[in-house]
Amino acid sequence: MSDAAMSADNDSDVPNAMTIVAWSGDLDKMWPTLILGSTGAAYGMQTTIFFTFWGLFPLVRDDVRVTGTNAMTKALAGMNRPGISHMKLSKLNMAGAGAWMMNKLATDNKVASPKELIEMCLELDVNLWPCEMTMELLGLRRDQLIEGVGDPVGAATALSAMSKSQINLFI
Amino acid sequence: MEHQVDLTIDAKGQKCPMPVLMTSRGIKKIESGQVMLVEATDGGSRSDIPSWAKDTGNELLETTSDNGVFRYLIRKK
Repeated sequence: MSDAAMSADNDSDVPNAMTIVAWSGDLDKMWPTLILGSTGAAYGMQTTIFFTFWGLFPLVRDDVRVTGTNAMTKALAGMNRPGISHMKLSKLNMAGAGAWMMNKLATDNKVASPKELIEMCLELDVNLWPCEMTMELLGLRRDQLIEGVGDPVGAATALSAMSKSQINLFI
Repeated sequence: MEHQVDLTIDAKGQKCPMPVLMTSRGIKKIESGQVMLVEATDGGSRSDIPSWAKDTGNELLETTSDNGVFRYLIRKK
């Protein structure tokens, strides 16, 4: 039997790597992203989440109000408050009332919050990679991001991880 | 069949995906061959824990349910 066939046999059908591109910073998209990411790691998969565009804002520390380097990027953070605890719903947000209700329902039902899940991801060694280009575009600094995230990387690094993953998701 | 339980994980009241995450965290704390008991009330655990055990190569020795509490005995590979 060839080496390739042997290793295919040994690997059986269990995936061993997953990469999620977290494009959306909406509460109702980032939540499942973090659920799948942490569960993937619990499954023993090498799990990577690549945070890009709107997905980067939840990686900013909750206590950081203003990000950006000029009027435009600062205004963006003003209209779209960064932080894992400040995400909005993609629909029925109702100026925050919808998001508040969703968080309340989750707490009442003992569903782990995005903040707890991201801590779980870090504990389970999920790679949390911020997109370098978007960070520059949005004027985000490394020290404004939560502790434990990886070095900012580019699209090629993300694709390299994806090419080695059996599961690739764009959320 | 009685097994000696080396570690008990109380995931009662926790919702998906926490029971699996806590199970994964627990398995790291025991040695190969040791047995862990996971207790959960989340219905999703009925499919999640067996599939987790199968895919991670750990052995699900026994599944019982009593009064809405599911108990899983898992032996670390």
